[in-house]
Amino acid sequence: MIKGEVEELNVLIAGVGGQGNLLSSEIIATAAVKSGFKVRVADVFGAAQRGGSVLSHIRIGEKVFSPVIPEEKTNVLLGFEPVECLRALRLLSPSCIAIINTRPIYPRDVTIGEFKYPSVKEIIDVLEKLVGKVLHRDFIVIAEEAGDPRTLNVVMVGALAALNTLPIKRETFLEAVKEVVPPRTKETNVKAFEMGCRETAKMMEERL
Amino acid sequence: MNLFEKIACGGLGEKLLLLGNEAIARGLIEAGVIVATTYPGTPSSEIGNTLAVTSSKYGKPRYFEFSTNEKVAFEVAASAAVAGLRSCVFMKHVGLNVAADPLMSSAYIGTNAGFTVITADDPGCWSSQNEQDNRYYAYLANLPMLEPSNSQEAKDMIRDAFIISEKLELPVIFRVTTRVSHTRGKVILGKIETQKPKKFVKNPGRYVPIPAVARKRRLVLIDKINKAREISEQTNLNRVEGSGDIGIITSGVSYNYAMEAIAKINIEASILKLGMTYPLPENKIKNFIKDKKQVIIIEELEPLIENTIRSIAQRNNVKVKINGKHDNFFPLSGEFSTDIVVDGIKKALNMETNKQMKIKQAEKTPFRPPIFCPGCPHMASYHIVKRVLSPRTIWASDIGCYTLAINKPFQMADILYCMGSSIGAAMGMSKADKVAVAFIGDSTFFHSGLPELVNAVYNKHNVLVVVLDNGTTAMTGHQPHPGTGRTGMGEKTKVILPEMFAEALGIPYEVTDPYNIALSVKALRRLLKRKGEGPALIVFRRSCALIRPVEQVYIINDKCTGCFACINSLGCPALRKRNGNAIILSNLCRGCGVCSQVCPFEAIESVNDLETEKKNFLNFTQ
Repeated sequence: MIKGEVEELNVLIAGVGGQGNLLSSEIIATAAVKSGFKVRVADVFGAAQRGGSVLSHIRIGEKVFSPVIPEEKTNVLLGFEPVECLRALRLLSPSCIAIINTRPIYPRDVTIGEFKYPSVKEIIDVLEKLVGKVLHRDFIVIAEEAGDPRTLNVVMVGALAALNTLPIKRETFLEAVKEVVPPRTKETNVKAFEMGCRETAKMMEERL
Repeated sequence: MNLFEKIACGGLGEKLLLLGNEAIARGLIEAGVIVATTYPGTPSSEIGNTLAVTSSKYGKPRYFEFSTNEKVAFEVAASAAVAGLRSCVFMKHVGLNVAADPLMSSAYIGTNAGFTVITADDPGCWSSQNEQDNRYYAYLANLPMLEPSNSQEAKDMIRDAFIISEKLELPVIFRVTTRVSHTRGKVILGKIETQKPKKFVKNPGRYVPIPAVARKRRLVLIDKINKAREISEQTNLNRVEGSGDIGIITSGVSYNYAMEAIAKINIEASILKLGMTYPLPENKIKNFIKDKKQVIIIEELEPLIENTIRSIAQRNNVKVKINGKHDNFFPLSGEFSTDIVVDGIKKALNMETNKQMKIKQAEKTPFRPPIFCPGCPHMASYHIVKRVLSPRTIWASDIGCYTLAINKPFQMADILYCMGSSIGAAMGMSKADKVAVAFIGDSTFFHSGLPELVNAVYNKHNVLVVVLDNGTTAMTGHQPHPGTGRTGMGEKTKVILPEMFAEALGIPYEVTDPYNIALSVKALRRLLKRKGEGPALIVFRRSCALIRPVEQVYIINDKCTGCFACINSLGCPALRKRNGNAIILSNLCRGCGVCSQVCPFEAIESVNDLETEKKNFLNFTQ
């Protein structure tokens, strides 16, 4: 964990509209504010309610002004969807840690057969060449175990907490989860957060 | 305490993480605004979504409405301010085009209590048909303009806007952009003020700009804008930060990129941050630029500040190198970023730019455009119309989710201008002997479709008007409108339906449910038979799939032959090809059953046991 005054730490969430990116970015930013940091969050999305690419930029630190992360400055990538991680490549730092959910959501051009979706292996290979560390698995399975596949977004926040890259305590993340998610989903989401944390910690141990 | 309650009631010094738009809402509450009006439009939508809750639950502001369009919203708020109540109207950038007529007159009439006009511009066209620079409206109307750079300023500067407005008795334009509206940041709350209503005294010699009055008021306006220039000279909203013989002049969101760019390039620069961008402070600018080695102007979209500064330098005989958009150092289109600004500053300073994209991989990824939601009734409506009418028909589209019919499998959007333009465009097309159909949503119909329909009847235009009525303003986040029977403050009100106008105008019409394809096809055929000279109207009525509970889902049985009629005619995201057959992703299925009516082989059937099916869907999520 990075101690002392934070100059600049950038977390990027790459996903698809409807996956809950905006809720995740709000949780992470709330946890950062609770920990006393200056934070800016930009959710970059288009016109429609659902289905388009969404990038959430979370920027923590005293030297941060721009709401969006400059090229090659992302410290942690939370990939909710594999192909969306490729779209974000230019923003990733060479030492970036990427946590990736490997379950794809096919874009329309793929479902109607006009475009081939790259294999998940290809996507991981590209990322492994370009960034510092890649942790990947089907995180939807964890969300399902937590009780609802829609909690993928909170599972991924748990994964981020387990990394210990941000100077934010797990308990603070948990407080933020409880505060931000809709009250009736609190129990499932808390479970999702804890499972995301635990499973990611396990993955990190296995790599060592 | 939820966020809305904190925005409405949070005390002095409390810290909240707020979206730019939420910060603006809080700013309006702190300024004691009594009347707020809007027509929803992204990137301004969340201001209204916030005030709808804070006004109905906590009485802050005392009155809020979703008006039928921006012109109406403007007139309601402007006149409430003339009547003595602090008021505000807000909208997206193109909304101000709709309200431009009263905007121009309001500059002449002026205001009594404070009146702020918030415009949310959209550089990069994230959710708009253009990226027009609404700062021009301040120049055009001669109205003072403020531009915040972040959430905290978005809240704080609302107070400044009202103070300036009341001091000059002029409306003030408050201009934000997508990246300010849609960025979350820490906001320290201020005190909530209560404003006593001001007295309204009848004064037709001021408030009724007949030519004789308008000529006098034009002179008053010129005098006021000169006074506004003095405010611009003195206010701390226009201030110098840092030091160095390179001068950077910037405003709004660009200020953030400039700050990071200077740190990144590691140069000593002095920054003139402009928070009040019309009128610009001539003396302050003259004094800032005169002893600089070089001045670089950083602003998104049009070179407005740059033009003024070049003019100030020329008139004051200041010989300094000024760089900006006229040198092509900064792009005219799209949003800025730290990288773009770094690149521009380096070019201006003759430094080497090493801009080469290390990674080209992103270009190989499949494009992911926004799509119709699973079960969206618009898919069914377009399918029905396509089945009945010739493919040579001209499809005039409008602003709403249904513009997505431009994409496959429909490809039913041939022309579009703006809100409400479909009927007008169809009228024009029909003059060239084309069969023309106008697709218009319910909220858009009330916004500006009505006068167009009247024109179609009056001038006997031979067009078919298709109203896609999903019972909400869906694209901007489900705001109520005149057809919903509910006001912005959550009160019950009369339900106004599009077919009432067809009835009143005496034109043939039909109302049908697009989820029933056979009946809808019949209804449309029947209407086309009845249609004589002049327009006819059909309403496809079915509520937005996102706000309707799921009661059943559909599955594909073993009768599926893999003809993919379902996918090819609807393109519903819940339908997929797998192993030569179609499948339905039951976690996405909204149970509309439209695909089962399209299937020629009775291969799609409903399942009511949702719980069992939900367990099965895990196998299906690809």
